[in-house]
Amino acid sequence: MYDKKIFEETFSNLKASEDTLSEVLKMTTKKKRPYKILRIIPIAAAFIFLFSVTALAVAGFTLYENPAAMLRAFFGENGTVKSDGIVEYDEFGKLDVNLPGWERVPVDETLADELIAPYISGETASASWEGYTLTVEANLHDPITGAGLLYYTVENPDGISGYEVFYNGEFGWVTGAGNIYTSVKMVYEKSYIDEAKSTETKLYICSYYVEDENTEIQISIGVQEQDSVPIYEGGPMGLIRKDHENVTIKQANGGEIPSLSLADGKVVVSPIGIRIYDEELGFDTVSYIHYIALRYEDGSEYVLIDDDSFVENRMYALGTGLTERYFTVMLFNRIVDINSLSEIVLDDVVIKVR
Amino acid sequence: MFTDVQFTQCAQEYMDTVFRVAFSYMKSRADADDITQNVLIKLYYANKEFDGDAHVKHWLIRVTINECKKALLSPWRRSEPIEDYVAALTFETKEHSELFYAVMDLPKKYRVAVFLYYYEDYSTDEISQLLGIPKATVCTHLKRGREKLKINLSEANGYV
Repeated sequence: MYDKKIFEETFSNLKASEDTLSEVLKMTTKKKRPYKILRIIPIAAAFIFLFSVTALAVAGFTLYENPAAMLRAFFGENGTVKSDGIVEYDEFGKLDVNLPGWERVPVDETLADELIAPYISGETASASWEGYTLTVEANLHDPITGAGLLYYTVENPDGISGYEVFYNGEFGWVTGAGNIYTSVKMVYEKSYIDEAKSTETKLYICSYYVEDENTEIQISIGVQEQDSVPIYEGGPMGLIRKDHENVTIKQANGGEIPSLSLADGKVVVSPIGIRIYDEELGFDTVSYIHYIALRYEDGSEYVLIDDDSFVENRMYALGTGLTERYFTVMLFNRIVDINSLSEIVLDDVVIKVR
Repeated sequence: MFTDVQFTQCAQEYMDTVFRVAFSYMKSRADADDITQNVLIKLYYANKEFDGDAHVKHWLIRVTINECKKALLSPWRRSEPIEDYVAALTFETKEHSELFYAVMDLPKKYRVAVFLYYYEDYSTDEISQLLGIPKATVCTHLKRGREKLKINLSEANGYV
């Protein structure tokens, strides 16, 4: 579709300022490089901290009373459909779509009641925009891993249009003037539709997010408008999102969701997600980890990622270096019983859970 | 681990790459220059062993993207009209400038994926690793980016 040569010629024009290198060299001569400290990770001596499974009475927390549908949508068979993987090529033979397979398993209700339900915050915040109403139903945030689940609805009695569901089940609003949109601000997130509950006039949206810096989440609903001037002379009109209404919810959980801290805190796992300090564990943050499995005491396992087998059973992942420590957070597509885990496998590193 | 001479050579070789990635993310020359400096300084102090040129480049782009994410959260981020920067560039033909504007008009998440895919020639697997997002999401971003780019270009000059 695009002429590769023209693409290269166009962007080859972009060059760093001439004084970039001299500025860098000036700064590097002011401060010596530190000696590299070799780290040896005592994997075999992993320590575990099992937090209380009992929900605590927390100010500002209201229990979400009927979480069954929400949990089936986030972690069960009502979520995105199962796939053995999709590989497609474009008209020039270049790999276009390369989606590893994923599976969905029914929610274990006993496990859900024990490990997740007590910590889901029932929300009521609502905002309206031109016939559309956004209402937040529930939120679950795990401050230990940073993983979170936001469940909200968008309703319009005249019907809802202007959204897409892609082949991997991901949900998104269509960009275009006059189109409605919702967005979750200041967090990294991916959204899917609860297909079992959504109707033509009301969408139930499941947002998997990663957030560990803010105590509030802001969700917006608005309309995309055409800018009054073209982006450039003779070019297309730009889209702006200047008009919207916001709702803000506080991260209030019914106590700290149970979690395991392993390998001196370099791996933290909760029923909804895992945080891995990959660099500190000796993994290269570039080539990354190609196989992650959570193994249970009964011999079964949950393979989160297996590049060789073209499998990816995670809903959202964020690798970040925003803080001094590089880490990766992945959200699960099923509830993990952390009390029955026997080991976690990261490529050829096996972390025993004792 | 680099000697100072090796570091200088490496910085010279990759600083434009870092700048392009940063610009595709930030759409601001000033921000992209600042990020380029920060990334090169991180490279200097990283004291890292690399397996080869591809490994260095991959590491630099990964760090650049993290620096861009950090910069986007900063309240001190500068906003500048892209036209001011374009005025300083010399595009060979109208087709080139239209492509540039069309790519820059894409939402950030699509723009970065499209840039890495079509300019840097990375695969969806590699982009997934660079951006720290699932391959499925990269594919979605590329698909949506291509669709929007097609619309932008046809609106501009029928160039598709």
